[in-house]
Amino acid sequence: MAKSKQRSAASAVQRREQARQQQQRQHIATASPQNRGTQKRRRATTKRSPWPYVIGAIVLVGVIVIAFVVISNQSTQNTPNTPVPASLLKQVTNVDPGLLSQTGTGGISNPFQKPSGSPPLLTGPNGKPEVFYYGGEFCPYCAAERWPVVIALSRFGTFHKLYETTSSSTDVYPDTATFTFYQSSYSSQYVDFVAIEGTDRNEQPLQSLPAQEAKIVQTYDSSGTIPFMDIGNKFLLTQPSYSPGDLRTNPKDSTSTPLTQQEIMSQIGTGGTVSQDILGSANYLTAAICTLTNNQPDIVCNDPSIVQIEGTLNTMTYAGGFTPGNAALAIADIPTSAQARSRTGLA
Amino acid sequence: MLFMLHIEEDMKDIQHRLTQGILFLLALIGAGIALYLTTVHYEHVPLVCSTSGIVDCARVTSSAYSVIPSTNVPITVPGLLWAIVSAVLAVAGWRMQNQDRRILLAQLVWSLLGLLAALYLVYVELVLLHTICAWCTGMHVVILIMFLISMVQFLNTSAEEDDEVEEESSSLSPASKS
Repeated sequence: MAKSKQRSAASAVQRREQARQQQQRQHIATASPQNRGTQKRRRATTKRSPWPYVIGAIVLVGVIVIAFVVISNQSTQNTPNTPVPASLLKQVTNVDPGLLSQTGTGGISNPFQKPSGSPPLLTGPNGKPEVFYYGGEFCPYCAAERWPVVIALSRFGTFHKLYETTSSSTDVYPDTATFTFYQSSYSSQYVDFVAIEGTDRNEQPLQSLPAQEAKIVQTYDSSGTIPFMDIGNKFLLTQPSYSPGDLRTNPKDSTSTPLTQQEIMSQIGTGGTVSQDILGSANYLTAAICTLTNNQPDIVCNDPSIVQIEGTLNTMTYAGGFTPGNAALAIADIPTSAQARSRTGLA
Repeated sequence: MLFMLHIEEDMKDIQHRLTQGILFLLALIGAGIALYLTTVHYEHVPLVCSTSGIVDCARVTSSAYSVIPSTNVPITVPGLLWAIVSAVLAVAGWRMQNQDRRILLAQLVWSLLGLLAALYLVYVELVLLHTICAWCTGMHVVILIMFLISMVQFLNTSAEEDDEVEEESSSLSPASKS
């Protein structure tokens, strides 16, 4: 019995030892370096491969760009021109002569140049001295220039139809509030006003130049710089009279919110920069036109401030002026649409 | 076994340095583009680019969006600074023997910032200007490639480090001790 107990105890010890050895062998087998490496590779390839992230990033960027293209195609940048509200038209075409006289040059420099020689007086379709304007609806510099043009011409005649618009949303000084002379109507007993808007606000062709005006542009503005004005072949305006930046909430920031037509109009007469720029330019234009009309009408051309500016214009020399021969050379100093942008530090 | 481990380490190091070299070259290309556009801005030299159709570099680089808001500083200047910093990070990464995760993370974050700026500029070109600047697009592609490379390298290094941590912890587990 005792022997039997001893045998059974010994066999139990042997069984436990065998089980322990088997367990150890199994552990060694599962924990072998080769096996561990396989597990590691599996983890690396299934859990941490960077390629899904790369593909995801590329897809995400692609989707964003495609979304931009779709938005771009859907957005309509074209704002149709609308007639200037009657109240605004009345205000801009009836600026107080006393205010204009008081402003004088408004502190702005003489914007004109003279063609060399003595080209014949430019006459318009009705045989009167011609005031020729060439611009584009997209152009912010033209947008700024139209304000004094409208005010000055209103002293010699009447705008029957005038439309409001803004310059291009995508050019420098985007959405500058202004008018367009496209489809406008003006009559005067003193001058003929010929206005050509070569392109719309999306820079698509709008109006073509009549033969006479095409020759003028070819002669004096061969690079197509706009705004361009020829005041009866006596004076040429080849660059903006003032910066379109002044027609914004922050003149130093070309991307700041543009002033509306009404806001601009309400600033005229305050004596501020907007008033000085627009009325000063209008007075220069008025004086230049007076030289074409034999200083008619009296009430306009005999105003002391106009007489003074006219005197300045009459003493202008041809230094750096325009001749058909040197036009190309001189044009290089005038900001074209792109050059003008450069000079504002934007190109 | 030790010899194989050395070879593996050397291969990793070569791969790391090669990647940093590529990042450096891309940063130089980006800096070159930004420098050219900055020169065009300040020196008013002609821009070599199409001027018709949808591709018109001058229209983009002379738009209201081509400068830092409220300044006259062209956005090519921060673009140039971004490329220079990227090049410096690539050099720092190249000099590091042990792929320093902090540098790789800095490269990833920096390139992500560049990518976000590039996406904004793509938005401006496509949606606001309806015009594409070929030079700018070149820069954007460089930034995208740099971001992808930085991401791959960062993720690879993270995975390797995690594996090392797991290996170390498994070697210290009770089962191994027994």
